[in-house]
Formats: sequence, C-alpha cells, structure tokens
Amino acid sequence: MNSNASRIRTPRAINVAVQLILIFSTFFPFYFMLISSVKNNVQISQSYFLPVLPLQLENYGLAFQKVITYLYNSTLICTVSALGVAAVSCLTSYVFARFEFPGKNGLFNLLLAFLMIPGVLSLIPSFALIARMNLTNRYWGCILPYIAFGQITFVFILRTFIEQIPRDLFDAATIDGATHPMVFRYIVLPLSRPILFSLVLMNFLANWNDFIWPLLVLPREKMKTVTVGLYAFTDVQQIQYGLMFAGFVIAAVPLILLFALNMNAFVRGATSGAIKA
Amino acid sequence: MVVANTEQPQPLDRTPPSTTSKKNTAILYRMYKARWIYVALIPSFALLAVFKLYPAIDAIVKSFYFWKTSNLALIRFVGFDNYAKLLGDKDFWTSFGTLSIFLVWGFITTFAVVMPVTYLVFKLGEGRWGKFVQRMYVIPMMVPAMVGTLYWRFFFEYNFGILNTGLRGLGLESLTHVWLGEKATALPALLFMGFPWVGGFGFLILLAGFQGIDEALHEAAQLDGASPWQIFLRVDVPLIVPQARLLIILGMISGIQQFGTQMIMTNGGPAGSTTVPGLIMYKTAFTYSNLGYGTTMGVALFAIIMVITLFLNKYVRRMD
Repeated sequence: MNSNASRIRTPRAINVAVQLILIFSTFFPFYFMLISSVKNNVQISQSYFLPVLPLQLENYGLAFQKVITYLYNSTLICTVSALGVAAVSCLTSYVFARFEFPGKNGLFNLLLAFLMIPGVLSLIPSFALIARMNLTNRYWGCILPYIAFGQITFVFILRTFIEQIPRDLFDAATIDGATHPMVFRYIVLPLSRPILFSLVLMNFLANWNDFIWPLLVLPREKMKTVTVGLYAFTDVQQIQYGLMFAGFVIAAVPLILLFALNMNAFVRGATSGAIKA
Repeated sequence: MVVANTEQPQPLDRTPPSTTSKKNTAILYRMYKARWIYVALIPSFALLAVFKLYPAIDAIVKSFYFWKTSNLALIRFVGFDNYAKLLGDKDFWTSFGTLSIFLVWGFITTFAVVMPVTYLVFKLGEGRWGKFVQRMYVIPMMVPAMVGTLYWRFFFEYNFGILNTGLRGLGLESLTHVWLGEKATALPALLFMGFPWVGGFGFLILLAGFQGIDEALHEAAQLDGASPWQIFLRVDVPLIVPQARLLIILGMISGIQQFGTQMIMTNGGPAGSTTVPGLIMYKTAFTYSNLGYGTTMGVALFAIIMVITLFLNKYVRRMD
C-alpha cells in the first residue's frame, strides 16, 4: 500500500486535499456552535462567522442550570438500560451458546423474529400500555422497553461470540469442578469483555439519541432527557442564541468524552452487527 | 442464578421410532431435565412478551376500534371502518411520495457520495493521514443527533440563520428565503441537511468492507495493467456488494419508520410538503388524540414494511 502510494504522489495529495475540504465542511457546524456559544445577540450580528471578545462565558453558567437536569436524566436512563440489557443478554446468550434443550432453535428464532416488529406498529399501544402501568413520567417507562428491545441484537452477537470460545476451555473448567456461574465469571466474561463493552456503548448511544419515545413517556420538565429537553429548550430560548448554543455544547460534551476515550470499541461496536448480516 | 448441570443431549436414537407416545415422553423427560434452562430464559422472553409482543397484537386489535385518548375509556368496536377511512385518506397516501424522495435521496448520497469518498479514505491507507481522516469522520457520530438536527434548523432560519446571513453578506439579499416555511424550498432544505453526508454508519460499514478485500486482488489487477478507475469499478465495487446490500435493507426498513427529523425541522409543513406517513400517524394519535385510527396507520405501515422486506430478501439478497 505505502510503496504504491509513494510511486503516485500527486493523486494522493489531491485525495488528502479533498478529504480536508470535506472534513472542514463536516466540522464547520461545531466551529460555529462553539464560537457562537460565547457571544450575545449583538456580537452575533456584528461578527457572525468569527470569534469575538469579550467572551460571554455566563452563557455556559445559565445553560448549565437548565441542561444539567436533562443530562442527569439521560445518563441515569441510559446507564441503567445498558447495564440491564447486558445482564439479561449475558444470561440468555450463555444459555443459547452452551446448552442443548428441546425447542432451542425455535426459541432463538422466536427471539430474532421480534426484530421484525417495527416501532411504528407498536408505538401507540406501547404508549397506552405504559400509561396503564402508571409509568409515564417515571424512568422505568423508558428503561424497561429499552432493555426489552436492546437485548435482541445483543444476544445475537454475544451468542455467536461465546460459541466461538474453544470447547476445551469449558471442558477443563468443568473437570476442575467449576459451576456455570464460575465458568461465566472466569472464562466467558474476561474473553468477551471487548465485544461486551462495544455492545454496551452502542446501546447507550442508541438510547441517548432516542427522541419520540421519551417525548411521549417523560413529558414533565424535571423528567426530560437531553434530546427532548434541547428540543423544548430552543423554543423557549429563541431570542438568546448564544445561550442556546452553549446548551448544545454542554449536552454534547459527555457523549464526546465517553466515545473519544473509547474510539476503537465504538468502531468495533458499530460494525459488529454487519459482519454477521 | 444457578443453572442446574444439564448433560449434553442424549442421542436421539435411544428412543427407537416405535410409538409416538414413547417419543413424546422422551421429549417431555428432556424438557423436564432442562427446566432450569427455561427458567433462565424467562427474563428475556418476559420482557419481549410484555413490551413488544403484547403491544403488537394490541395494535392489530385496536385498529378495529374507535379509540380516543382524551379519555382512555372512550373505545368501541367499529369493524373495518378505520381501514375504509384509511383507503380514502389522500394525505396519508400522498405522503408516501415524499417518503420515497427521502429514501431515494438517502441511497443517492450513500452510493454516489459516501461510497466514493470512503474508497478514497481507504486508499489513504492506515498511515498517519489515513488514521487521522478516519477519526475525523467518526467523531461527528458521537454528537447527540438532536444537536445536529437543531443546528440545521438554525442554519435555515430566516433572520439569524447561517444560510441567509451568508447570502446577505455576499449581497445576494434577493436569494434569501424562509427556507423551511416555503413550499418550494422546504423539501430541498431537508435533503441538503447533513451536508456533506460523509461519516456515520454507512462510512464505517463501507470502510470495513473495503478493508476486508484481499490486497492480492489489487496487485493482480495492477500487474494486468488496470487503471485505478478500472480497479475501483471491476474489483472493489463488486466485492462490497454485501455491505451495500446491508445498507439498502437497513436504510429501507429504518427509513420508512423515521419521522423525527421532519417533526423537528418543519413538523411536516408547509402544506404537508415535507410530511411522511410515520409523522401523520404520530399526529393522528398524539396531536388529534385519535389512537384507533393512528393504530390502523401503524398496521398499514407494518404491512408495507413486511412486503418490502420480503421483496428485498428475495431480490436484493441475491444481487451477486
């Protein structure tokens, strides 16, 4: 690859230039939001595309007071959901990967068949169900459906992974008298930690970005998630654009930090479903 | 959670194929021996039954009911009335035209923009530049989707928006528009959103596809005197058909259901020019409180998704 590339230098330089232009376009929104978040409206109209002094840092303080509730709610919901999905899926994947029992294939196909039920079909009755269970404006109203639905792909990928662990490892452990919880704890868990972590990250991201469901289930101001909160936030704060962008930046930071620190796990998670498809 | 030691399955031949009753007892015995396994599967299946299966069945049942929210008790069986009404619902069916524009545009950007650019990224290799460029396209995925959407709403805003401010700065005041509020510009504005579209799931899948191609094929083609352009079209494109197929299937199935963007940007307006079936369903149920009729739309969408999935499985899966 590298020897070829050095032989034809010019196309490579053009390629890099194209990429840099596209990356600039991709990142322009972030540049714009950052510089605008420290301006007041007068500064925005005077110097629209460039940063300007003095910095209106109090935008961040004000926006933080509003966004902190949303961040707390989203973090709580997504963390509990991801842990719940991981717990349920680990148990189910282990069972499907390590045991033979009547109806195994049928049950597994049934599990996958749930992927065929689209969100648009069940949206309205799901909401009615949550309302009847008295779970509106409660975290569980989001968490339980997230666990129920998030586990399917999770189980699908994790089962395949556990099945690929060499049989000898399990046999050796069983001969040494290990029980199934011990086998899971000392063999499956250490080996599957990377894929497990990737799957948890993807689940976290999917739920963090969900919009319609929390909009319906958690309408009370104190219960809003980041997506719903920002959506409402922009309606109320129309006039103060700097404040609005400061809110956007604060809302984006935790997720960027979480994923930037785990870039490889993130990429692995995003592509893991595709390998088997 | 204690799962009892269960042995591997007994060879089936142990029960000679004599009578069915004997066979049944054998299966029952094996099921009895595996009882703890079934217990271990309860959490998964109970959650799915309550939060997925029940609402799905309820959807089909309620599509035959008149059902208004303002009062959850207001519900009565009306047979096929909702379906008859739906067949004559012009707004609902015309919105499929708009939806197909969104879907087709999604495929155009994926295969005419994202795929060639991803190939160029792949060609940069795994060196310093290659890694840098790859990371730059992945980072925007980590920004909450809502922030991105609201940025674009601001981009098209009339007074303070980026597009109009830019046009005024260039002295092109006459070209400014209420982009999201005029019938002629709202749909094109929504299609322009996300420019330059590179990055995200499609980028990662296609990049993994290109990286999975055996380097020896490129070398062989080069030795045979193929130009870079020929190598791209004759070697690389045919070999990422599986990834392309995946993007088509997922793009279709999720695209039909997606309506959040339209809701945030224009709420389907002006005059329904950016509305899609999912959004009409949502508004019918939650703005106009007509849950029964909304559910009927959901069932219709489900039927259409099923037909398309079967079609795609039959034809697209065997594209190679």
